Amino acid sequence: MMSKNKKEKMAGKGLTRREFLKASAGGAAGVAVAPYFAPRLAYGQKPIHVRCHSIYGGKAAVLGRSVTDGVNMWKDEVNRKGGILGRHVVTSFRDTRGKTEEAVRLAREAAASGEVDLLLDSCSSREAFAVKEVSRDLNFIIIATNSKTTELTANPKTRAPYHFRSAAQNLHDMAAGAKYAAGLAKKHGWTKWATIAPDYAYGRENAMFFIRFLKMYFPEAEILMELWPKLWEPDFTPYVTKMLGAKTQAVFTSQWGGDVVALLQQGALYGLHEKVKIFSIDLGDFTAINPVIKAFGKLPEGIYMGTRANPLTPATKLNRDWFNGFKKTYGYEPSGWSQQAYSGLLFYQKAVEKAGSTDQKAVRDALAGLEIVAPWGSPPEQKLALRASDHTNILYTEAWGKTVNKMPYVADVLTLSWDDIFKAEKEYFKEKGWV
Amino acid sequence: MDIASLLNCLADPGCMAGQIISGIIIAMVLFLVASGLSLILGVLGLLNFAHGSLYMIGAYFTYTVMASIGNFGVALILAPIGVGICGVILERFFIKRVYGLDALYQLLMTYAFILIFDDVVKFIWGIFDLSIRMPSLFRRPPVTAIGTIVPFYYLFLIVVGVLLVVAIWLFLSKTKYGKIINAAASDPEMLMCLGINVPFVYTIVFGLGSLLAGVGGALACPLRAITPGMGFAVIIESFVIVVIGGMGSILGTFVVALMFGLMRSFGILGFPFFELAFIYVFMAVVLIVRPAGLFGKVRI
Repeated sequence: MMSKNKKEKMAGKGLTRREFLKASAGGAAGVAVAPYFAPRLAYGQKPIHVRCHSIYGGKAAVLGRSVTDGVNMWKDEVNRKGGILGRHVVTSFRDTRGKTEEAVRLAREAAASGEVDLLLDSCSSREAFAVKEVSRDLNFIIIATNSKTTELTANPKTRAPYHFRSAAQNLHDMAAGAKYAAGLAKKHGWTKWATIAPDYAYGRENAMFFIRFLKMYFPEAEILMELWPKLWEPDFTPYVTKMLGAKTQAVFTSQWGGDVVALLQQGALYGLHEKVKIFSIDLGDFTAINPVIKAFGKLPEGIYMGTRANPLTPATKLNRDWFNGFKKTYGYEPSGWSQQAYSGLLFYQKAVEKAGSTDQKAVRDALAGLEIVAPWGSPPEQKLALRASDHTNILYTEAWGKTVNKMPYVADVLTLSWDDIFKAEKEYFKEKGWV
Repeated sequence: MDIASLLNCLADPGCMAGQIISGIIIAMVLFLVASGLSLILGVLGLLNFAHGSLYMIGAYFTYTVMASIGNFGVALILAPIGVGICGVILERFFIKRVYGLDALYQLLMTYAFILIFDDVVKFIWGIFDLSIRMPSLFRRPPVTAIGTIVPFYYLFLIVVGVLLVVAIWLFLSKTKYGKIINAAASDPEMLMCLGINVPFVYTIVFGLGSLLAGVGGALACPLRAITPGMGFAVIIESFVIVVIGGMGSILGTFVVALMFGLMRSFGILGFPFFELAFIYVFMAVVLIVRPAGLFGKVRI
């Protein structure tokens, strides 16, 4: 038994042990349930529940994390301003592990639960096509924030009425990228080209579009070879020696993440980026730039790259503030995946406000054709739109530039015109019978 | 198909030499990983799917040593030893419990460790891709030979790979300890009757196999991004090499790793759309014609 003195010493100022334990238990319970009740207490209404499905394991974990931080950044901003329609926003996240069957199961579970108001599919193209069918089946809105594969929304035969895309799109990226590359190729006489892209839907499609549009803008271009390393390929040396052996003058690549790092590391042993002009759509992402800097001690200069989630694309205050805000809050630079998830949420936010509720049909009607202002919307208005005809995101800044070894690591940025992109798109759609 | 490219390259000594070097480089890192796998599979009969994760841990250890000391030579010694110790701990506490059990149990346990190791590296080193600079010793102009260039680091890789083949072979076939390991693979009961501590031998073999995976991870570091999940990229190919070469055959592993590398580097020239398919077709043929693998009867 503890003496009365000891008891008093422990609790201080005459508080008995029983009272001390009661107070502690009450406090702990309060802390535990506070986050759940706080939104109700704050606004007196059920919070809006945003669910995000992404990949949190394996090599794509870094991108999943950047999505989560993009979503939370938006949530905090919205809640600071009083929520949406006076309702607090809460977020939850699930790991699809990059598996299609898991992405489908989670999407079905979220849509059927009655607990989730707004759903983001922040996985790759592989999952996006299957998840779209869940949206079609359950008439539940799903915004795909990462899948760039054009077919996902472009083919009218497979469109789903409640499915949208806030990601950039291969066709748009490549129409812009090829125009940029063709301009330089014409000027410098780079006629011998190669492509090296990861061997799955994303890589196959963007290499196809790049070749198509490069030849459209610069018919003299000759494609010497198309190379298809598998995703997460560890050995790029034979590809490098093949390109060098064929006297390739310029190469387009859509290797991303660790793959573009490995390609440059192994290529450097043969002087690849000194002998061949490299056009990389994905090197501009900071998830690639940072390890490349570590591998070389500095960013190799003179590589042409697509640039997104960068304070210079576009060079506006709105975009700079967003980029710096993200970096300050989370301690690292945002990725393209963070940016595209954030776009999806901006669309949701405005659509719910317009619809006056989170009713799926009302929000869907509001989303189709919706225009918003976003940090990476094309200047000067900085607008993004979810095109009504195919539920896809348009008008984001399509920019390319040249690497320099100084933050933000890109110079001579050229922003491509959406008029040109639409023109290229129209011709492709006409050919496919999608108009 | 791009048969013309392949034929042109075969007619050009410079191009052919370049692709041969590329193939050998692919083979060397794969051999180091696959040889450890083969040793574990051959002696312990264990399907170790977590072997790729040990390669990954080797790369992360190398990164840490490089970040703190900055000496690649030291990293090349310490990182594999660290992985070997990890392997010993893994075997002592977990793996030894599934010896002799159905392959499914082994698969489940080792697969679980792939997930565990991935999460551990994310917890310790973070989720961001890491990389190390090419060690200063190898930052020099490549060697030119037979009309092609050979990066200095690749020469080093080839020398290390060949030295290790010879060392492993000498160790297993010429030393007392190697003979004990051989005996443990073929008749552990008899070995136990002779007073040899067989569980201890198993632990050493697992540690040695892990160490080899660690060497592979360390040597791959200056050439690849270091990421969680990087072991996946090598484990399937390593299994293919071990199966074709013959489980437990170091010589078979080496020869098939070379074949694998060369098939890939020349396949990319002639059949860029499906060069990987060749090796799997080859594996299917070997499994039908010679289920024990090409060198299956050759004892380690």
